[in-house]
Amino acid sequence: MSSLWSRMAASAPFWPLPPLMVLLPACSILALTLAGTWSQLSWRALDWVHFSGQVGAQARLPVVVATGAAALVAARLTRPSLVFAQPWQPRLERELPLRHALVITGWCLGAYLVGLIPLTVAVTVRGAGMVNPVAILGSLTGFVALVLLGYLCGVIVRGLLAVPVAIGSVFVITSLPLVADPWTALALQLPFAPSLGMRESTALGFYRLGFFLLLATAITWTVTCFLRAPRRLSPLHSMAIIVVVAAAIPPHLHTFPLMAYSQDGGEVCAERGGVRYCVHEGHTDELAPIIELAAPVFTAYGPSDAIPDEVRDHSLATTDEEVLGGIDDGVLWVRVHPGWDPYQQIPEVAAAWLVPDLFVCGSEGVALMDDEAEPEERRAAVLAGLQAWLASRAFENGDHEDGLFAGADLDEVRTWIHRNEDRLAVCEVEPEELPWWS
Amino acid sequence: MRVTVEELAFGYRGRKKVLNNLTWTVEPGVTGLLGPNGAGKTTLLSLLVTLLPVREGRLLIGEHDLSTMAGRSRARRLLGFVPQHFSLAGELTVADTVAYAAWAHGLARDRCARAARWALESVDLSEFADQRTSTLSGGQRQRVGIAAALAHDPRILVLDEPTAGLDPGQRLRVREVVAGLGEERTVLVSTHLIEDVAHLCSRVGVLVGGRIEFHGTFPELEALIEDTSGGSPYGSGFERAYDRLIERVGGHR
Repeated sequence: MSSLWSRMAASAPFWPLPPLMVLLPACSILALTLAGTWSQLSWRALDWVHFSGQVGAQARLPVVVATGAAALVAARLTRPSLVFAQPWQPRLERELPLRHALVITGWCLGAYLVGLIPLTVAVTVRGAGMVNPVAILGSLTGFVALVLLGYLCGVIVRGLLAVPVAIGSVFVITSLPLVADPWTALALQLPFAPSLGMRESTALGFYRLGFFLLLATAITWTVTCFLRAPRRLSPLHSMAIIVVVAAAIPPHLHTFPLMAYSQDGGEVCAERGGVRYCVHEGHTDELAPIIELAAPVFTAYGPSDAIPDEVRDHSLATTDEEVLGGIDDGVLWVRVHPGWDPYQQIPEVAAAWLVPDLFVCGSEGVALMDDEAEPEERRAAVLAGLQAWLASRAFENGDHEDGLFAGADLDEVRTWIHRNEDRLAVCEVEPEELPWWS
Repeated sequence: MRVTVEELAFGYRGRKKVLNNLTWTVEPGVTGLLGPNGAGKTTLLSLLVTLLPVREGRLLIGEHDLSTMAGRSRARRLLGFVPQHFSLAGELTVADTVAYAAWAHGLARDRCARAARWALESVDLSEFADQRTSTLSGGQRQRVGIAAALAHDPRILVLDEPTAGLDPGQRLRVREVVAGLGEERTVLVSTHLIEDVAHLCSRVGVLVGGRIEFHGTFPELEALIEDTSGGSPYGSGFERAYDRLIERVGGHR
């Protein structure tokens, strides 16, 4: 067994690292990546924009593992007391750290990319849109830079303490975009998942790619300086560190826009019941379920000005103003994105469009029907009940057996809605007024 | 290969010089370096293995001048060094450790396994090749250190206190190994044990106050010690005699 390990250790893919030091993190990363993406394989509406973002988003835990592994390698195998890591030895200054970094980064990044293969295949087969190479390159360069950061931790700390230090540091760095947008430029992933019709902003993509390239170069240089004999930091090197720190400041002075509307791809439209339904051409398969689920809700509500003129895929939006002005324009914007569930989302958003927001009732959004409920909470319950009843109309067997609208006849509700539409809009209807409620 | 030291001086920043116009030549064979604590032995070895930069005087490994970057770079491939205190990575086998060291010293990857086998044979550790280094005794670890310094077949081997901390049996084994290595290369052994010098070294240098104050054969050193102490260099009176020797060679300046 030990000779097998020795033969493996002597082979080019592992040399000069002990195979276990490489295989354990690589297998963990493969497992983490597969676990993180497996459920996405069956998702609806997969697209390349989402995939491009996932390359960074899914790296969040794998890069932590890879960083810990790199810190362990450096901490265990570059201590100057080791017989094979003395600072004067010819390969120690450059070749040894570069080889370490190449092997550990190669295996960890390789395992991560292998873990992404199933998702890549799924998107290739079913996905729409265009891949964003700058976003992917930025994320992968960031992956490499953070692994090198772990290695640097190991070189500097030179003990097992380097491992938790590296893991903690990288975990914090990868979590910062969740705290504030300016940190997104210095992290692997966006704080949200982009999808078709949008793209990561060009400035952000190139900044991130450039920053991580600079960081990786500076770290490599620093490592060689620390392992060199005699150890010395030149003024030029100090300048390089200052340049990296300075490069990290611009996003905090001027926050990059994270996303931009891509405005690529045409639209596919259909009409039913006087409502026009349009989706991005990459979402053509989603058009039929959207119509099948939204039209019955609008029909149940009956003819009214409240019915939208158009239900439109958010992937077709060109500006934020266009989306925000949807209510005034009679356009119901629907977010069709990878992993979305039209059977849950479409009835909900269609019903929510028709029924006033619960906040008009003054109950802080609370809808209650128990004995201790306040009057405004009881009136809010009417709106909530109506919204739930309308949403249930999307389904053939959508009998609504619970709540205020239990057993209500479709025509009876429709008539009642038209009689009380103005009062519903200001939340004046009491539960006791419902004709079918006793 | 010869080591030539010419008027070498070195001082740590802000302190007085540790080495002062040191001139010495180390010829092929095993040469001992004796000296009291603080004499500058470690500094001299550090300069020799390029851990410290040569700023004043000259230090040549063969023809390679260590005051130049190119000279240091070439000399490093000719050197093997076993520091007094070194560690081994417990997760590696003995053979992997030595092969790794050979590679770190500049040997091509595909030659390292063979070089490790040869080096382990040279220090009589072949049977332990597949054992993890964490299972070795002190003497075996010392021999692994020597094998690691030897695997790239250096022309000059520098050993800092190679028998320190070993029991008498292990010490004897290490001495046998080192004596054998001196037949084909230049070996410099820094030690404070006169027995090591007696058994190993064809020549001895005594470093006092940053200079080599005595250089000669061991019988010449022995004669000097006897002349100084009136007794044998071995035995309980040696330390006192050694101190007087240091005083005496110091007085010959």
